[in-house]
Amino acid sequence: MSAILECDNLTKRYGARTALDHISLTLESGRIIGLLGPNGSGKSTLIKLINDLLSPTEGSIRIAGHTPGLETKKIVSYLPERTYLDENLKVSSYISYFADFYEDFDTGRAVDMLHKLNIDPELRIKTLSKGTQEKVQLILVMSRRSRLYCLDEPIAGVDPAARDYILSTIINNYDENATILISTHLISDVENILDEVVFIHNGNIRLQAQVDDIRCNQGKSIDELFREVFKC
Amino acid sequence: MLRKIFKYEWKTISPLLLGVHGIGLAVAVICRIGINLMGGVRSADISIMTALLLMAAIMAIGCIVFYTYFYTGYRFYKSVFTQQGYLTNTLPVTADQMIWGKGLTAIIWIVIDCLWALAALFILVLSPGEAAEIFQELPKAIGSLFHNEAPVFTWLMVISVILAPFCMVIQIYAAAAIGNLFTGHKLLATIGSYIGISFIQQILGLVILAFSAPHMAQLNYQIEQAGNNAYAQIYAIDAMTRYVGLGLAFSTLCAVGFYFLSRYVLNHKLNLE
Repeated sequence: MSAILECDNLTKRYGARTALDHISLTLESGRIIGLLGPNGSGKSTLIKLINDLLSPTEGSIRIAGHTPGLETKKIVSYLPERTYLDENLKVSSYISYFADFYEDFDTGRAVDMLHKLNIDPELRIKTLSKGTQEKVQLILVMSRRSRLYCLDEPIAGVDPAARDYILSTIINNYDENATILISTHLISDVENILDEVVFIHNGNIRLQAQVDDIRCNQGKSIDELFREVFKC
Repeated sequence: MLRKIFKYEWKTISPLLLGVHGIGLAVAVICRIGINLMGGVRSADISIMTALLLMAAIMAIGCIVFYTYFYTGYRFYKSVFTQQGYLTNTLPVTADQMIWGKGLTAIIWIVIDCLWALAALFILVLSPGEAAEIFQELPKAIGSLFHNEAPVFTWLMVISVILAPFCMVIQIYAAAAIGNLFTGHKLLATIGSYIGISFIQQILGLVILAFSAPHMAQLNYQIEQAGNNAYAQIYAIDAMTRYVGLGLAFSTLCAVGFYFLSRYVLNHKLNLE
């Protein structure tokens, strides 16, 4: 397997505060990886650096061999923790928008998922509930056939039923050669779908391991190990 | 990609601006009808009500002109530097395509806005006969400027008018880019940056004027010495040409600077915390 993400000595500072502190990390293709850590640990910062929304203070980051920029935006699909949809536009406008800008966007897949959820594409975003807006955003992001999906807290603000839908959407639309990086602190909800975990705390990588290894060698669930590592 | 950015920006900002300009035009027409009913603007003793109505209509037109300019700037700020920026900045487009795609939309709307304001003012104060006369005489007057009286000055004015919307738009984009560098209160920082940039431009403009003052004083002296003859006119046109040329060079330099500043921030200093 080839590396989809390589971080070398990556550092990000916001003024005097260090969000990421000289981290080195390599993620292989074709895996579902949990980026796990408490709030403020640096998860979102790492994901934003991958998506070229922030610039590193030090170190380097490469996605499929490219530094974040035009080439990586063609192959990385990003779900932010907040809604970025313009509430005056219709759902169908966003379908056209994604289809126009992203060559890897599968309109049929998006329409099909909207249909399954009974979301009328002609509705304006502002008429949808917060949960439905998040589902629309997830549908847009997962309808791309990208090489790397970065999902930042995809289940944080939704009810348990919606969580199940979101996780099943992620799994069902997952191409085996693609990599999914899911950032969350809700470990128990996601641990069954993960192949690998990266624990991050205060901007440092505390652990990177295969989920099966943790279960077999340590005899613990990811949730248990997380609670142990991040015990207050 | 540039065409796509332009297409979606146009579709996003145009409905609101079309509505605002439509309402503005309706206000101008209603005010004109009201002014006519009260005796018109040509009557010897223009009533207070007519004057107030005229002033209100002109203020409304002015407000819409300002609104259009700042709305296009706000749209850039919102789509690039707020939550919507999470989508805008992950599109596979370059910073140049982003600036030009959104900038062209804003420039076209500013041009439409200026033409609209002229039309609204014509509706307010001119009779159909007067308007027809202006449209008849205007090409001749402009033609004579190009061919006989002051071709260089006229060309410089034309280039200045063409460049003005670009300079205005890129200044507001640069202010948004600087505002993005702040950790909080980014909108406030953008407004502050805009005011700061305008202030610095004014100061630099005055400095340049001060440096060119001796040369311009020499020209003024020549105009006075020539008295009221053809030479005085030539010297006056020469002086005006130099002033406009200087202003144009300064505006162009500022616009280029603002463009590269915006581009640099989008490429290297994006700060969507």
